Amino acid sequence: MKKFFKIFGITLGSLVGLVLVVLCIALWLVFTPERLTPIVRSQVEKYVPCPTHIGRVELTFFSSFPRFELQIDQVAALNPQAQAECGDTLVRADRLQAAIDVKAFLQRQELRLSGIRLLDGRVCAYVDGTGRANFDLFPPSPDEPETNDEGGLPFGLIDVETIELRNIDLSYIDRQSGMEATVRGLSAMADASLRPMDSLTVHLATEPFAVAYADSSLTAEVRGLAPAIHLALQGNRVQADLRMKPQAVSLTYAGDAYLTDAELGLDLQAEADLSRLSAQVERLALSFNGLSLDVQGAASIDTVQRDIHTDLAYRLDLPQVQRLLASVPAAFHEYIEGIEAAGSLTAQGTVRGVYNRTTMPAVTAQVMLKEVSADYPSLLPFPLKQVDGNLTAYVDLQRDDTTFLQIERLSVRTPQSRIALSGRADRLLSDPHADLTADADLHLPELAPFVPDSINVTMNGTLKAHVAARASLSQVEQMALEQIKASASLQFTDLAVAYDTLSLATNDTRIDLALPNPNARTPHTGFAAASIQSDQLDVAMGPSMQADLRQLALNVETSDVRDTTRIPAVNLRLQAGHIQAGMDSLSAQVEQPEVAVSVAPQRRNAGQPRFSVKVGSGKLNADLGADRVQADLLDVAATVFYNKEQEDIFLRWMPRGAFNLQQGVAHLAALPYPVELPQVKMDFTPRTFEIEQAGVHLGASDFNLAGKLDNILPFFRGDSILRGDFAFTSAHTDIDQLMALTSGLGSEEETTDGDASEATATPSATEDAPADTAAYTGPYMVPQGIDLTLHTDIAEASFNQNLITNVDGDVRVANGTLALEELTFTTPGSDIQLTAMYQTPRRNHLFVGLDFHMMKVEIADLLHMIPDLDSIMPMLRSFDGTGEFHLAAETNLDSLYNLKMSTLRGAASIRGEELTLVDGETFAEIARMLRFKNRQKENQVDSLTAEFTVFRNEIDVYPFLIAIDRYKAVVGGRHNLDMSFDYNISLVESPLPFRASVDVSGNLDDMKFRLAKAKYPDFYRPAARYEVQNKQQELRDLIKRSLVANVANKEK
Amino acid sequence: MMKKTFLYMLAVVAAALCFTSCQQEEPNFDESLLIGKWQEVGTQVFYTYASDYTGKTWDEADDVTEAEAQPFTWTLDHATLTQIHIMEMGSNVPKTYTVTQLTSNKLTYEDDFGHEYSFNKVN
Repeated sequence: MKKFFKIFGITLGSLVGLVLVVLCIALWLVFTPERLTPIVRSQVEKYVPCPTHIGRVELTFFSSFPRFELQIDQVAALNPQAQAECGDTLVRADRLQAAIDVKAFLQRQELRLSGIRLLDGRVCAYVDGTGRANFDLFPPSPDEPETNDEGGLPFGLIDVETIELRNIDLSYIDRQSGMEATVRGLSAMADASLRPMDSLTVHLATEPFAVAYADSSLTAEVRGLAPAIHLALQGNRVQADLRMKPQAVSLTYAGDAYLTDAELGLDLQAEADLSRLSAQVERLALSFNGLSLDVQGAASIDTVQRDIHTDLAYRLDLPQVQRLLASVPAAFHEYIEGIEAAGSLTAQGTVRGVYNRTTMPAVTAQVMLKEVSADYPSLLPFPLKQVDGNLTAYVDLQRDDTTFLQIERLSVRTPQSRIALSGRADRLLSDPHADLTADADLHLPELAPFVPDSINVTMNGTLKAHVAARASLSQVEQMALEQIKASASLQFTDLAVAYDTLSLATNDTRIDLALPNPNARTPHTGFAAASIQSDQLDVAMGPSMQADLRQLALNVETSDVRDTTRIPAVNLRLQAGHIQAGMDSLSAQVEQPEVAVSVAPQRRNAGQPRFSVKVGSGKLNADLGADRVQADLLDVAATVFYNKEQEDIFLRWMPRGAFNLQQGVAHLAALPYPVELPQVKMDFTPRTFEIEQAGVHLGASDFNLAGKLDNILPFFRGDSILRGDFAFTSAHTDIDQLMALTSGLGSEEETTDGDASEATATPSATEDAPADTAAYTGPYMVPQGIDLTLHTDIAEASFNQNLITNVDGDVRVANGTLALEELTFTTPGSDIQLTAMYQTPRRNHLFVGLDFHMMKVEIADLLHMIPDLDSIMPMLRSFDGTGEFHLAAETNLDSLYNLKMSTLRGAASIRGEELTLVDGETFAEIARMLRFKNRQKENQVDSLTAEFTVFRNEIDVYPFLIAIDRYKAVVGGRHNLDMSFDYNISLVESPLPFRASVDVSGNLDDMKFRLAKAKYPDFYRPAARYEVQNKQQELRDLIKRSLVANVANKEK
Repeated sequence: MMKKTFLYMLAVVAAALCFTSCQQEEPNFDESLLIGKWQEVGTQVFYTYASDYTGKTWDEADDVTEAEAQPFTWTLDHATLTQIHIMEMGSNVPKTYTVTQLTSNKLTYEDDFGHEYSFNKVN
């Protein structure tokens, strides 16, 4: 191209010279076209090194006075050797006009041309495939130095005042490189002055023209260009002023219209130093469809280092984003299909520094967004509106530590939501670190499209959020939460979320999150904190599970729970005004619940956790299907030490704390009566369970329990038995109900199965067992491995349909034995001392033993209280009155409480004064046979002292003395439990002259009396007793001593 | 009066004749033969007698095992076998029998009411 301009310039100069020659001829010879034309043709041929064509030449003077003006029609410069699209025409114009300053030419040898006009012409430059150009008119002459071109002009100055081109087509065709450029319809006005090739000033004003360009890979066409150019070249300095008012420009690229009537404007004011390859841009203003770019500053090129030094300031204004979007070529419409945008954008900043292959200059940018809106449905389900922002960026690829993005303000609105963001991000090019604050008012249904369709979630409500975060990208990627600082405040209003069968609804809930925790209550819980405040929170899972929380306040703070090498520290505190929850047929309501839970490493064993739990509530009510529990107040405080090394669940979780319950009532399906707990207050540790107060109304019983259960931990470790010592005070106790309540506790035997021997021995026991195993119908099994003592103080108790009062004594359960130890009480008939023992070594082999003492007892009451005594000693029915009764008896029972007769043992002693013998018929027969004087139906027995033993089904009545009337008789014999008997009554003192004796045998229905030999004639006469009788007396004493021994102990 | 005196004397003489004539010498039995385990004939009642004069008894028909047997002490004086059954409640129940046969595998005794008990030694 440079060569083209050189040749073009030379050609133009030649034409100017031709004009001068023509003018001279016109002045000196002829002025008619007929004369001038040949002259001009000859002169042109002389000066122009190529064939030319001159049509008609006319010289005017008056119309251009005081200048001569030469007008040439049909002028052309030809290169006949060229064979190309241009043909042989290099330059052609219908008319060439030029005015010359004759005075300056004649006086100063200056060629001052004015008003050069080239009309309706064409310039065609062509380079063929071999590189030969049609404008190469001058064959290279190695003998002539290049400098001759500069000094060869005959003028001291060539000054072209104006050059006007009108409707000129310019073509440049380079077949060697496959390039073709065309300018069509160029109309321009140029002022130019050319001093001796070191100073050139060009002013060029054009009218809109079209430029076409094509090469092997692309075809481009620009229409509507109309630049105004001022170019001043002086030495190596170039001053350029290029202005092009906004014009409708069209650009076609590769057949596609990239610009169609685009508004393109340019204003360039720059000065360049070609020797230093530097440029100072005073102003570069580029406008394109409303987009304007202003650039100021300097740029230079270091050819040695191949660096480009920049110091530029720029400003980009895009007042209407939608216009820029509309300018996107149709070829790219598929990429923006559906995108709608509007608003304004402004960016300004600087570009400073060195640019080369490895270095980029530092760039600053301040971006202002105003009222920007965007809608791209395929990317965002909702349009963005009112995007306003103020962002500042500094990017220096060499110093990333200084790189930052400052978001002064960035706000976005959607149809129903708003998000505002501010903050700063540093180190953008390596590990971005952001310190951001976001405020949002979100309409949650708008977020629903972001949830994958596979997750069946629906959301309603609004979220007002304030989020602040300080974190680096690497921290986020590595989830280094301990290094991230973040906080969030989320305010949900009318929230309703449903996920599958899970639903959550709240009218007003606030959630605060903090990372780390700025207000940690303990040194270990500074990692994170969260709190939830909610007026009402409803949660449901399916139709069967639901929970309703009112005035909820939940606070959680924690250590880094991800650290698995140490026990996490967590504090949780929950308060609520009311909680109601239900699942199927279960439901619970709690008023004023308060729960505090904390987890921390144990002080003495940091590898194990310690849990602290505090639970408090006002009124609570739980409906557990068949069971129902309610209370007015509940307070539980516990610290639980966890030891994962332990396998037993109790040893693994060791609690310590206190329990307080007021006005509790439990309606249990297993009990036919409610369990009322007016006050339960207790402390518990792993070793001790201390009941300070436990008032219980249990059915007919009303009692208070206080005391201590000890050795709990050693008991579960198997090191010791469980020990308990309690005071049991009661106004009334129903012992039958209590035994039924605790029956089976601790028994390892199942209620529906047993060993084979039991099944064999008592088949009815298993056959009759109810199908519902929940109802325990077997015998009462005494707990094993425990030693519990109950110090009773019962004003009134009912047992086995008997009412007893003033119960004082100990009830002890020790290692499988239930014992009543020296229990004293009063029945309507007697003061009683009772020691009883009940053991359950196995279900079908129970043991019961009695040590029973009645100091003053009515015989009838005695038999009423102990009906089984009538079977053991049926003769008691024959006496009436008050006596002293001592009984020791024991036996084993089967699972249905049937006596195992083979194990029955007993010894009894009865002592009475002034008893009445009431069995009239029997006594009458005996009295008749022994000739009693007094034969009344009720005979007085002056004294009675007797001992009985029971062995299996044999009741042996040891010979005893009975005094009736004037008689003393010794009675002894055997009474069998089948009600048969064999007695002998021997008179030892009577009015009779001989020792009369009567045998009484048979049974009560068939009693036989017969006189017989006296069996015990000398029992109360020691001097006359035989050895056998002495032995019997010794055994009787043995029985009596052993029987009364316990009474003596009690009295002692 | 004479008649009454006569009757008294007759009674005294009759009684004297009666009591003096009933006194018999008891046989001696070797108590070592008693040591061991005995089963009552026709029942599942067992007795064991140990050389330290302790023993125990149980009835397997009542689903009582030997380990659950009830203890007693025993003495054998001539033919009088005394068993004092020891109750857990602290009292004692004595039983006295008259041995009528004691061999290495056979034991028979009776009580004061004529009830006889027969046992076979089972080991």
